[in-house]
Amino acid sequence: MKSKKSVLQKTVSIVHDGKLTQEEALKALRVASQSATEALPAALGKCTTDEERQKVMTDRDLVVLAYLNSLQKTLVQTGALFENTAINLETEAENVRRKAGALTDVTDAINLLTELIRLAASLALAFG
Amino acid sequence: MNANKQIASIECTITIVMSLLLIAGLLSACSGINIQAARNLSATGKNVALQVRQNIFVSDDEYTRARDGEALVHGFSGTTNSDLYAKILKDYDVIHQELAKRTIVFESLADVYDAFGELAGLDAGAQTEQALTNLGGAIEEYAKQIMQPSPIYKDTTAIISKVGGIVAAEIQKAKIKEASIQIRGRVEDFQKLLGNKLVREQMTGFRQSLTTVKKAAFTLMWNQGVYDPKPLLDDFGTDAGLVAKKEAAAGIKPNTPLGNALLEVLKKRLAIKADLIEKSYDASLKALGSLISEHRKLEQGEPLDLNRVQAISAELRSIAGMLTKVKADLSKNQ
Repeated sequence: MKSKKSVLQKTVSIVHDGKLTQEEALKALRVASQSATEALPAALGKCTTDEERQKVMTDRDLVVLAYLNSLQKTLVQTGALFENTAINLETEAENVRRKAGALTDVTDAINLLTELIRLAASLALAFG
Repeated sequence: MNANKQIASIECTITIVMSLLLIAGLLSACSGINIQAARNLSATGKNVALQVRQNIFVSDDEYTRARDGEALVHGFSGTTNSDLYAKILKDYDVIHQELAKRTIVFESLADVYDAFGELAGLDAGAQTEQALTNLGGAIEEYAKQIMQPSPIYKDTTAIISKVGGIVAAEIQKAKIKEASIQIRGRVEDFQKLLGNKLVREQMTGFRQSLTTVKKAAFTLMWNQGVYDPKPLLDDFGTDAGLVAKKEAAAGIKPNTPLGNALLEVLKKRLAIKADLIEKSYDASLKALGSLISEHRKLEQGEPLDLNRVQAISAELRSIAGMLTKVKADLSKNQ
């Protein structure tokens, strides 16, 4: 009873505001879906026939599906934002690795030059 | 002739040293960057990315139990052949997979911190100094072999190597600062995305819904009197050092005052999980916020307070532990 009242209050508040944002609408559907699911054990407990039980379950399922359907639609919108964030982060990891690589390259170049000079010295000794 | 060569050599050495000092001077704006702090920040950043990932996504175990819950309530109501039931399960799978795809962002974030660790982990100053010392030695050796005076004196080789090392360290610091600024920008974007009200509702709402299904399935079973409430009765006697009588549990029937009282206790325990889902999400946002703040300090050469980030990370771990504990407590009572 309490949760039913709470859902009702939420709905009234949304209507009173005059603005219904997407997340508020999704939340309202989710709360309705949760309330229907929470009410299931008591409602099923009161049923005496299979038909009654099936009716209770069908009513609950319809509310849950309304929520799941809306959730899926909003996921399509925000999914791209996550994909972009992942791509940006991957690019950043590459950039940072390139910076680290450039630092090693300098030392590697000096070491290579050192080796070349040592080689030249040994050749000079051989032909000297 | 030799004197002229020596003068040219000294001039050359002075030119190299002056050039290196000039570069070092130009880069000295970055010398406030603490390389060790950057290394620590990279390790903490990776840890936070992985911990947040673990905390805000529905685990496979959680998901499977919710599906089991759906199966139970539909089995009980004789609606297993219903199209609506099939559609609910299908939608669950699609949504779960769609949300799971988002974990890649956390893996990418952890990878960014790995790369940052690679950059900060290099000891560019010491490595370059050693490489330049080796180069000086090789040149000297070569000059000896061709019977010529060394173009650079031994003493000045040491100076060049030292200054070269300082320059390399400054270059590394400059790159660390640049990388930190870029990473901070990405983490800020990510924090904004997770803080988006719609995203938050999607992430926490679906998880809450799954928790409700599990709760409904449990309540349905409780009402059928299939659980032994003895562990719960024992819990109440713990402070007094008492345990429930063996036959006490058998006397408790659903839909009686005591049956309803125990059900209420269990429902409240399950409700803790719903609160923890929100708390966990808030703590995750806070952890990302702290990382951003530590990046700023690193870039400004201020000492980092990684203990704060680690404390938030520990809070995340503790919430994850509490979520598991709720599960364990419930299993204990089943």
